[in-house]
Amino acid sequence: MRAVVLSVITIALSSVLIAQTPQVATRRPDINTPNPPILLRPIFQPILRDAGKIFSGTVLAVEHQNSGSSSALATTNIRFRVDEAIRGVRKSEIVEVKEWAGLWGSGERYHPGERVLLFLYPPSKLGLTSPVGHRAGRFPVNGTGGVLLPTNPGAKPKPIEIHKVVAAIREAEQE
Amino acid sequence: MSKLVFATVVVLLFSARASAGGPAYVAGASFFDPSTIGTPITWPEGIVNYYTDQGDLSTLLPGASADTFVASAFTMWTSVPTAAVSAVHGGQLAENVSGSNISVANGAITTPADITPGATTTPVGIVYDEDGSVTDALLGSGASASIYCADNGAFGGVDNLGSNAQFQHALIILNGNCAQSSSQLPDLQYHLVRIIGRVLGLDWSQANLNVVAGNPPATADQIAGFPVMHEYDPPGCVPVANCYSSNGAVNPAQPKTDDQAALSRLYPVTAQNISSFTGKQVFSQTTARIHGSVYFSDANGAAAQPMQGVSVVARLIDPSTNQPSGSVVVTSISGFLFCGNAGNIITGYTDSTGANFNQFGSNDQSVEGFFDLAGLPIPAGASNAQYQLSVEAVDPLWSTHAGPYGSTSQVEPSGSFTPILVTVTLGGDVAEDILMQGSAVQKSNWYGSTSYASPGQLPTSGNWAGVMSAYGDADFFEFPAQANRSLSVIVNAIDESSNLSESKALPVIGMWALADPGSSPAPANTPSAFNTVNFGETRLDAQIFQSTTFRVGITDYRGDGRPDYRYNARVLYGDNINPARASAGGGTPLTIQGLGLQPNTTVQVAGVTVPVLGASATQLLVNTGAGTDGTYDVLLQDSGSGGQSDMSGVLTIGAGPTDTIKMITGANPATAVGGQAPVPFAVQVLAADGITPVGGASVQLSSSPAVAFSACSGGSSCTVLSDQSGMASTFMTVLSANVMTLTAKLAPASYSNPQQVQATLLGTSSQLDLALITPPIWIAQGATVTLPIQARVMSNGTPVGGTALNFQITAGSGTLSANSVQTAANGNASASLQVNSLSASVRVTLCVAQNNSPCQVLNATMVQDSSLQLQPVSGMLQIAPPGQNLQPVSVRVVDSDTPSHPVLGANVSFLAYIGRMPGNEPIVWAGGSGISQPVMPVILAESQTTVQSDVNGLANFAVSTGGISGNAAIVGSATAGNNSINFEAQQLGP
Repeated sequence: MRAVVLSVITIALSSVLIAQTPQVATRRPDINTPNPPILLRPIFQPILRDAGKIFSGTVLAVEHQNSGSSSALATTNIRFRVDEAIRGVRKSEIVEVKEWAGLWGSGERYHPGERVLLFLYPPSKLGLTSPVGHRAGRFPVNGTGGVLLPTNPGAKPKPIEIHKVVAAIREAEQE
Repeated sequence: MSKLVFATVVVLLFSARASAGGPAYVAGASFFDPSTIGTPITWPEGIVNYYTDQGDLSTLLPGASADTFVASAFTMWTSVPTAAVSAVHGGQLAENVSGSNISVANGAITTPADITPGATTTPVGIVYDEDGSVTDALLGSGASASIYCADNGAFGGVDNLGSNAQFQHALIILNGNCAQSSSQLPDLQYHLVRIIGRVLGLDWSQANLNVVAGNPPATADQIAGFPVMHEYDPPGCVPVANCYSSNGAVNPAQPKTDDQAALSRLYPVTAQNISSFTGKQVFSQTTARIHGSVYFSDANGAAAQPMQGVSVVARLIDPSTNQPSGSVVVTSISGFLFCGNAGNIITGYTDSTGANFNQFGSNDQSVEGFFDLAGLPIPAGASNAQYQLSVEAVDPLWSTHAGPYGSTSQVEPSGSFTPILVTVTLGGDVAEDILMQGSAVQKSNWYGSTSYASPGQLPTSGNWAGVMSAYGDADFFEFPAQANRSLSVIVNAIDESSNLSESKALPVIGMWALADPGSSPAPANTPSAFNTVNFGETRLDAQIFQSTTFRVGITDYRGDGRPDYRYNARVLYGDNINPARASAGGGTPLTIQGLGLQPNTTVQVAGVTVPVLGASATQLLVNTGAGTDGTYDVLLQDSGSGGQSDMSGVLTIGAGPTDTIKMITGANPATAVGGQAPVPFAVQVLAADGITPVGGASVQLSSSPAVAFSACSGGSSCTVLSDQSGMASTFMTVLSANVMTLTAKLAPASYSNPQQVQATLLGTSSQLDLALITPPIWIAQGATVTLPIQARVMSNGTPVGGTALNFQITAGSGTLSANSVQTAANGNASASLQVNSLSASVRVTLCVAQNNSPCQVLNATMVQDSSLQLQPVSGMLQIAPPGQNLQPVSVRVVDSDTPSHPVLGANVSFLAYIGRMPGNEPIVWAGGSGISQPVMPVILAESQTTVQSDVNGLANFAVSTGGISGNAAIVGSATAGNNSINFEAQQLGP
C-alpha cells in the first residue's frame, strides 16, 4: 500500500500545477466590457509611486517564522510565483515576501493557490514589506487572470484583463 | 519567553478569526481550556493596562500630549456606560521605540523586549513612531508617508492570548507622520479608536452599509448610527469627516449604538462588578435584549437546521416617526460564537501555518445559528420600545472578515425573512427565533448516506448531483482506476435554485487509495475551492500510478454543511480503449470506455483531435486518422470544465515497438529477366506473442539491385500496410540478371533499429527464356472458373515478339482457349484455362514453339472445401460518419497449408443484418465484441449474397444500410467452407 500512497502524493503535487494552469475563461462574460467603464489610472496612480515590486502572482506557500526568542519579531513569509511581472520582478520568478506577522491578524492573509495583484513597498531595512496602502495595494485576481477592480462604491468589483491593467499602470507611470 | 507564551503567540497570529456581532475571538475546541470553549476572549476583569513609548509622537504631540491623545481614544470606549471596561496607563515602556532599536541580528529581527507578544507585564504597548521609521521597518520602506495615514496611521492589534481565553498582549503603533498637524489628529484618533476596539476584542460590524456603499445615499440618521467598527473605509473617506461626520454633527471616532452594545456584551456591567465601575449602569437592567437563532425552514415551515452567517438587525421604531431608526441600530451575526471554519478531512484541519482551524469558535452546534442583540436602548423615560427585527446578508465586499464565515468567505443566506416588530421592555429579554422562509430544505441524497469508512459506489455514469446538507457532511465514493491514467474530478457548486454559485459551499475534492486509513489532508486534494477559471468550479486533476480502487471525497472547505450547499459532480476518466490497435492508415473505429464522458468531450489520438462519432456517459466512439507507427496516448478533454483524462500509451498505431515481422514466402526459383517470380515475397506482422496478427502496420519493401514490386506499382521500393491478417505481399518482376536482396522492414520511420526480413531472388538471362507471369494457382474444389495464363518470351532480357507459344494441359482436365499463341511485341502471350466443376488439380505446360523449349509449368492445385480458410483483409470493423460511405468488407480465402495460398473460385457467403436502436439512438461499438447497448437493435433488413473469390483469394462484399436512414448498424458474417468471419459496420445518420 505504501507505493500507492506515495504515488497518490505525487498526484497531489501535479494536481496543483495542472489545476492552476491559466486557461481561457468560459464564464465571467463581463471581463472585457465593464459597464460603466472603469478608469484604471486613478486606481493605480496613488499607490504606484511607492511600490518597489508590482506583480500578479500565485501564492505557493505561506510560512510562519518565529525564532522563539523573547525579543524576536515573528514574520510571515509568503512565496509567490510571478504570473505577470510589472516592476522589480521577472515573469515566472519565485518571489518570497516577508511580512510582519502582526498584519496577519488584521486580515493581511494569504492561502496557497490564491492569486493577487500586489503593489508592495520596497523592503524595509528588516526585509519586511506589505501592500502599499494596505488594502489599496492588493487586488484579487480570478482564475482567468482578470484583476478584480472596484468600480463604484458598493458595487461588485469587475474583472479586468491583466494586459489592460498593465497598460494602465504603464500609462500612469509616465505621468 | 516560556513555551506556553510562545505557543499562544503562534496561535493568535495565524489563526485569528473574526466572530462578528460582538467578539473578534471566541475560544475554540483546541488550544483553549475545555471549560472556556465558546467563551469570547477578553481582557481580565475588563482592565486594559497600557504602556506608552518614552519618546514623542510628533512635534505637535510630544510624549505627554501623546499620552493624553491615547487616553482620550481609550476613553471613547471606557466611557460606554454599560461596558465594564477600563483603561489604565500603567506607565512607560523601557525605551523610546524607534527604527534604531528594531534591527536584524543573525538573521532574526529583534525588537525591544517589552513590545514583543510575550511581554505580558506591559500588556498593551503603544509605540510613538515619531519619524515613521518603525512603520517603515515593519510595513516596508515608504509605508510611513503621510498619504498612507488612513491605512498606516495606527496599526497593530492583539498578538498574544492565553489558553484561559484571556488576552495577554497587544501592540499598537502610531505613525508620527500622521500627527504633524492638528488637521490630521481627528483622523488619527478615529483610526486609533478602531484599533483599540480590535484590541478590546471587538469584531467588525455591519450596519447602515449604505453609508460607505452609497446606495441609497446615507441620511444623517444613518451616519449617526454607522458603527465605528465597520471593516473598511472607502478611499474617498480622507479625511474621515467627509463620510462620517454628517457636517460636523457626528464625531466619527465616537462609538455608536451598535459599537456600545457590542462592547457591553463583551464586558457587561453587572450587579457583581458595578462596584469597580463607578458611575456606570448594569447592562441588563438599563437596556433590552432580543436573542434567538436563525434557522432554515423544513418542508412544513418549521425550524430546521441552524443558519450561521446572517446579520440580524434590530432597529428602534422611532416613536416620533414610527419608522425604523437609522441611528439606534444593533446587529449580531448568527453563529458568532460558532466555529465557522473547522477544517475538513480533505484539505486538513490546520491552516497554512499549521494552526488548528477549530481553535476559535465553539463546536457546539446549538450555537450555530445563535444571535444576541443585547444592548437595545430604551428611549429616555420609556419603559418599553418597539424594534424592527430583520436580516441581511453579510456583505463579502465591505464586511469580508466579519462573522463566523469571515475567516473564509461569506455565505449568501438561504430564503428570506419578512421584518417583524418586537416589543421589548427595559431590562427585558425576548427570545425570538428567525425562520428563513423559502430556504433550502434538507434532503437526503439519492445515493444515501456515505462516509469515509463506507463510501458509496461511484455512479456508473460518473455524474451525480449531491448536497452537503448537514453540518460536517462529506460525500465519499469508490471506484477502480488503472495505472498510467490521469483523471479529473469536477465539482460545480450550485445554490438552491440550481444556479452556479461561489457564495454557498466551498467544495474541495480529495482522493485516497481505498486502503488508506484516512489520511488528512488527502494524498491528492484541491487546496482550496474554485481553483479553476470557471465560475463555481473546483477541479482535482490526478495522475494514477498504480491500479487500485480509489476513494473520492467532496466536502465543504470549512467543514460546514447546509441544505443550500448543493453541487454537481463528475469524474472524467478514460479507462480503456477497444481495440487497442489502429491502422497507420487510419479509419479504425475505437470505443473509449470511461466515466463522465460527454458528447462534447474532445478526443486526441496520437496528439491529433479526432471527431467523436457517438457518445454516452461511459463510452465514446471515434475513428482514427492516419498516423505513424508507434504507441500513443489517448487524451480526453472537456473544454467546458477544463478537465481531462490521459490514457498513457494505450493505443498502438501500426507496428508497436515489440511487434515482429515474419517471412511467409520468398524463396523462388531462378527467374528470367523480365519475368515475374512465381512465389510472392510475403511477410506477416505479428504481435510480441508471435501469434496475433497486426494489421495496418507499415512495411517498407525494397530491393537491391532493383526489382519491380507489384505492390509498389512496379517501383523498387515503397511502404505498404499489413492487412487485417497482418499480411503484406508482393510479386517481383526481375529487372536484371543478378542476385537481388529483397528486404521488408517493419516501420523504419518509427524505430531506429527496425525489424526486418530478407529474401534473395536470382535473375537469369539466356539466348531464349520463357517466364511465367501468372503465378501458381489454387482453386476451390468444384469451382468453375476461367483463368488467364500469361507468359513472356525473352532473349537476353529483350522481349521476343512473333514467336509461337504452345499451351498444353498435361494433367487434370480443363479447356484452353488456344493451344498456340503468338507473342506480342512485348514478348507476352496468354491463353485462358477454363475448368468446370473442378474435381482434380490441373497442370498446364507452356513451351516456346519449334523446339518446344524452354518450357514452364503452371500448376492449378485443387483445394477441398474442408481445407478452405478465411482471413480478414479489410472492413471488418468500421464506422462511417454521416455523408460518408462504408467501405466494402474484404476477406481472403486460403488453403490450410503453411504457408497458406490464396484460393480462386471459392464461394464465400455473406450474410448481413441491418438494425437500428429504438428511438434512433446512437449505437456504440465496443471493439470487436458487438454492439454494446442495453437493448437489442431492431432488425430492419437482411442482406445475403455469395461471391466467388478471385485469383488473389479475395472476396468483397459491399456493406450498405440499404437506404435506411439514421443510425444504422450492419452485423454480418462471411463463410467459406466450414470457416466464418464476423464483421461489423455502423453508418451514422445526420
